[in-house]
Amino acid sequence: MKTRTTLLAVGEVLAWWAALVVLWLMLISTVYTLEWVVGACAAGLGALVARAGRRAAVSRR
Amino acid sequence: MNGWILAATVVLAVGLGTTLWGVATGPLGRRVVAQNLSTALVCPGLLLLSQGYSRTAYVDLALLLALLGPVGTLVFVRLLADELGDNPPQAWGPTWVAAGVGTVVVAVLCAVTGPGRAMVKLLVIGALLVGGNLLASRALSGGFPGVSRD
Amino acid sequence: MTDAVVVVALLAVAGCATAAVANRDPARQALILAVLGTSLAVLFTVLQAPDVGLSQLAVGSALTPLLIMLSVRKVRRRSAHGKDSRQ
Repeated sequence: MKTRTTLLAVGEVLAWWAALVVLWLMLISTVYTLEWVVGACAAGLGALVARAGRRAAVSRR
Repeated sequence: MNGWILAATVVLAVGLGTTLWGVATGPLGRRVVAQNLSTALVCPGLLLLSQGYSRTAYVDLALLLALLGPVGTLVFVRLLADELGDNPPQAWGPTWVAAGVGTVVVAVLCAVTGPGRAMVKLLVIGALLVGGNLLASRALSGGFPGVSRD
Repeated sequence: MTDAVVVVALLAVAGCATAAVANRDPARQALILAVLGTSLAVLFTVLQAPDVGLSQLAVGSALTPLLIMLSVRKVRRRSAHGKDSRQ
């Protein structure tokens, strides 16, 4: 049960991360390595915040 | 001077003129509606300006406005809930007109830009613009009861 | 001919600022101020200063109205409270 919860949490963060990286790559003008690194870091932060926000919104309902 | 800047001038003049008139006169509900429509109409104008100056970086202004405009309207909806509570403003006609203008501008610019990442960015801006506009209008017309519980 | 869009933006800014001064109610002034922020961003853009326009949009379209409305609400609530306690 506990492993399943952890797996679900990791999967959700990964899904947010992938979506945010794709969004970052669409919004920048030229793609190169530094952009990839910065985008991946920013998307990681954004994914954690997005999961926290979704959980807060769901638990309030 | 090219056609894009001319189109942007027309959109901005009509949009800013009508919303200025709407926001400066009349009851409070109409003013909030006009403030909402000002962001929804200026955003296509900024997109047209970016195409007219042929500077793709100017698109970021429209992106930020499409993101923050509905946020500003939601601020007013939340903090003016007591004044707007008894008769929430219903303005679906102007809302759909603004959404139509945004859709047409984004579609034309997409057709000009051609497929690629720039077109995806334009589509993201268009989705944010139309979706945020409709969401803000629904919140204005009292579509989300129970939001103001304090 | 390119100046036409500059003239439109300048007229919008001047009209918004005049309307903001002419109104007396702080909530309505905050609404006009939000439109003024947007038209100022347009003015900066047509004067080829999009970086200034970006910061103007970020501050003027959501942040300034939020601050003003929060202060208005707090002042109103406090004055209503004071009246109740006095009576």
